Amino acid sequence: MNLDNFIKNILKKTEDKNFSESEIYLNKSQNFEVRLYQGEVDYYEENEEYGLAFRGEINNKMGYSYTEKFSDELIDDILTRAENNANIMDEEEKIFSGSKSYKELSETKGIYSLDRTKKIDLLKKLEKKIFEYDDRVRSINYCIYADEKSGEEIVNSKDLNLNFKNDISYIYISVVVEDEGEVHTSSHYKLFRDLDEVDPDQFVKKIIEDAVRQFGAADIKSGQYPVILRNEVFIDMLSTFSSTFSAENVQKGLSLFEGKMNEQVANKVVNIVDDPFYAKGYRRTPFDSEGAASKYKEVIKKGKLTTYLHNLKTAKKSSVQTTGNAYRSNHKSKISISPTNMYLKKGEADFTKLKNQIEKGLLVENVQGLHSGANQVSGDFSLSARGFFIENGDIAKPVEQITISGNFLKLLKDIILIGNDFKMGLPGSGHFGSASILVKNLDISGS
Amino acid sequence: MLSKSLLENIIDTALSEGGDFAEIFVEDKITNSINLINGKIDSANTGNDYGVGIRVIKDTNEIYVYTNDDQKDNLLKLAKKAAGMFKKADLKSSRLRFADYDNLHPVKIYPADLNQTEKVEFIRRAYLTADQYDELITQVVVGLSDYTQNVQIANSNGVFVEDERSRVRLGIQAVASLEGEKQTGFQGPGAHMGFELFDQIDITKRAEDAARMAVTMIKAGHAPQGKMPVIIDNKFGGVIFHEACGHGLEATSVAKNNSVFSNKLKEKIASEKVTAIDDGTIAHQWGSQNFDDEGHKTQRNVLIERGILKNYMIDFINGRRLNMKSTGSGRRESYRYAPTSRMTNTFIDNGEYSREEIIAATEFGLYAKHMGGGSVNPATGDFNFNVREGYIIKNGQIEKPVRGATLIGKGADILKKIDMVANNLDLAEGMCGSISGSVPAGVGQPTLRVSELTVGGRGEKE
Ligand SMILES: [Zn+2]
Repeated sequence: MNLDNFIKNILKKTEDKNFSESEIYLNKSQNFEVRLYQGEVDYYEENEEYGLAFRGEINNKMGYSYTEKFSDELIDDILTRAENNANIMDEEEKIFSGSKSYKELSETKGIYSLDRTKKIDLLKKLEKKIFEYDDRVRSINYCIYADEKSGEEIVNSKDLNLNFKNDISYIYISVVVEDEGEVHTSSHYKLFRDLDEVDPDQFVKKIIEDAVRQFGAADIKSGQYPVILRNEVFIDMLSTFSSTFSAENVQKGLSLFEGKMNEQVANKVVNIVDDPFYAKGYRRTPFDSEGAASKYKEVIKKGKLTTYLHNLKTAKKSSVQTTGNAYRSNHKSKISISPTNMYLKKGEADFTKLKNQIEKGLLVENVQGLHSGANQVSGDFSLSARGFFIENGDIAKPVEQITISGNFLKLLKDIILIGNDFKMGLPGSGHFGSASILVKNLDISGS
Repeated sequence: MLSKSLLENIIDTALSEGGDFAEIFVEDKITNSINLINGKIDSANTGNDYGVGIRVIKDTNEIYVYTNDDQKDNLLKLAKKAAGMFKKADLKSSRLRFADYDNLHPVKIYPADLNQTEKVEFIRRAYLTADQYDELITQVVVGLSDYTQNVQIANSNGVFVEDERSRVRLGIQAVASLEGEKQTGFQGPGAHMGFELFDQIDITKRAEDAARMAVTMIKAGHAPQGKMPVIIDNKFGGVIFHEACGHGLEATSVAKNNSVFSNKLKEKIASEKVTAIDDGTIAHQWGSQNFDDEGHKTQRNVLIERGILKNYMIDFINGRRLNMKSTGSGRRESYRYAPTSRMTNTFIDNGEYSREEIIAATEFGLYAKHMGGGSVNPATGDFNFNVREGYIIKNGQIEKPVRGATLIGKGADILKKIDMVANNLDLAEGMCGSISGSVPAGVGQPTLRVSELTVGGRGEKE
């Protein structure tokens, strides 16, 4: 497909329409995925796809449209749709001529083109080791290897021309264990850019031990307990509530951080960073989706809220500079705001030290229901959870069928100790990371 | 869209190296969405999703590839590449038979028949109603989305289907604020039809309801915690069956022995008060369509009849694994996904009581009038979902509203604990996410009572 010509032809035709400025955003992605079942590849996928978005200014209003069909006869449709959309807009939006300078960032060399059989063999090895490790493994419900490669390109009438690519690979496995009719599951993932980063024995040990340690789990008495949230749990929570850092949500009265700038919103030990240059982040990029230069920033510094995340539109409204957080998840979405690689800076406490702080409390290994049981506007959450009861610093018994409830703002204030077991989660609109944390107390509902 | 002869050519090429089944899914979809925040149109986007997905299967192993480039050379190259994943030649030649059908969901006013300005009027009507409902309402977000999706589905068994699906949905979110706290209310009416939807639903009433919910909840205390009887209201309350049991009855998890309901056909898995159905044929319902995304006609499938497990929801490849027939349940979000078994409109059937009788018969418990969403682990049946609008029931009467309640439990347990079912079955609309993407799914039930569930809230134990 010759998309360069198509892009040129679209921009040329905007001259006949009423657009004063216009822009093309191109999304290219490649993915490779295999799923294994009982030693065989039972699903194999390999794709390359493109998506093109147009936006153009008419009387300071922006009109959007997109297409996945790339033929010159459709250019008129693309432009007419954008024009119709511009005409109903109330909010103003501008096309950007570019930042003065951009960080020089080398593109990662991932393993997308590496021999596929090596990847499949690694997955087979993992599957085999899992069944060998413990005979209570009943089945593996997901055994996935995936490579993802994505590129963004922005070309506009203000002479901006930017592009950048990212890639990442991951393995995700979920197992079902059964003993005398009692069933538990556990899942584990590993992100990497080189196959050598995967330690099969460590991976297998982690997933199986996490699964079988749940045998005999029961709920506990309702009440308030000190809680350790495992790194992956806080990663999910940070990801869910990250929308509250968005200046767009603040300006629209949809954020719990509204009116809290420069206030102590979290415990002093809390530092949350948005780092578009972080080497292990999948959202590594020198520019955002509007073409503004990306910036490293501490969003919460020693517990104090120091900035919201801005794009050009929200920055103009608040009379500040954009923070380079304009975001579109792909060609189908409008420009909004998202963190890039956002993480809670790790602390120094090893896991034993975290546990030793607890006389009677809980270690939460997994939560479910974030997409429905967490309210980004109010900050309230109530999530189904499982983990372990901790007594005098030791793991006493497995716990399931409980809920943990609280409010995200209160949770941030109640983080009293941060572990050193930092990891990055699976990437979504942003890419989030955290270590395990000790929380003063949370409401637990059990029996 | 592709010609019949090209489709046949692609299928033959896809089978040229030893696959035993090949399928093509062509999708051409015009989508449109408009959003209003703070009384202002904040975004409007219109687009054309287009792509071709090719699937080749041998036994129960599948290859899936897709592309946006529908040039003949590219499609044949891709089909050849997919074919090459399976060795051994097994040449066939495909003859497609075009399937005639009666469209159960005819559209009166196509999304493309209205211009953006006309669409904005529906949005403004919802906004103005919710905004003026109460002074505690501080924000209203209204979104209107519509699409018309044209698909071609052809496979090596001769299936050749062309279907057109239009859906329209309005989402109204109201936010109430009081003393630094915020609570939200939501209504999201939609249907498998065109803009005649708004002749059938009352936008004003829906907007008022979203606002009423937010205002009620901002004044509510925290939900109690612990185990108690829970009454779940009709319509969207059906999300409990969808999450707690529906996903576990999809062949996707059943076939690989990953569901608590695997190998349980003909067994009693629920209280005899429970009859549950998945019906993709109901005219204009949100989760209905003429054909599933494998070209199989949708059906009315009785899943549970008076407590006995009767059937699963089955797609083509999992049908092979289970040695059972497809139930017209193969669905996918778009050409970017291979299909798998999914729900259409899933609901519990009517019982004998009235809502009032169930409330009156409950000494103490939680009344979940409006449910939020939830999720489930099909292997263990552990589910969770949140209650958007809840009330405490004391001595057979609704006492006071409570916020922040989460319900958790195990699907197999809850089915056995349903002890009263009302006669007011109604359906509502949701989006369901799974391995083949996000698809429109109808949920429903009459008001019903679960004798005991764990309620997670931040309030005191009662
Ligand atoms: Zn679902």
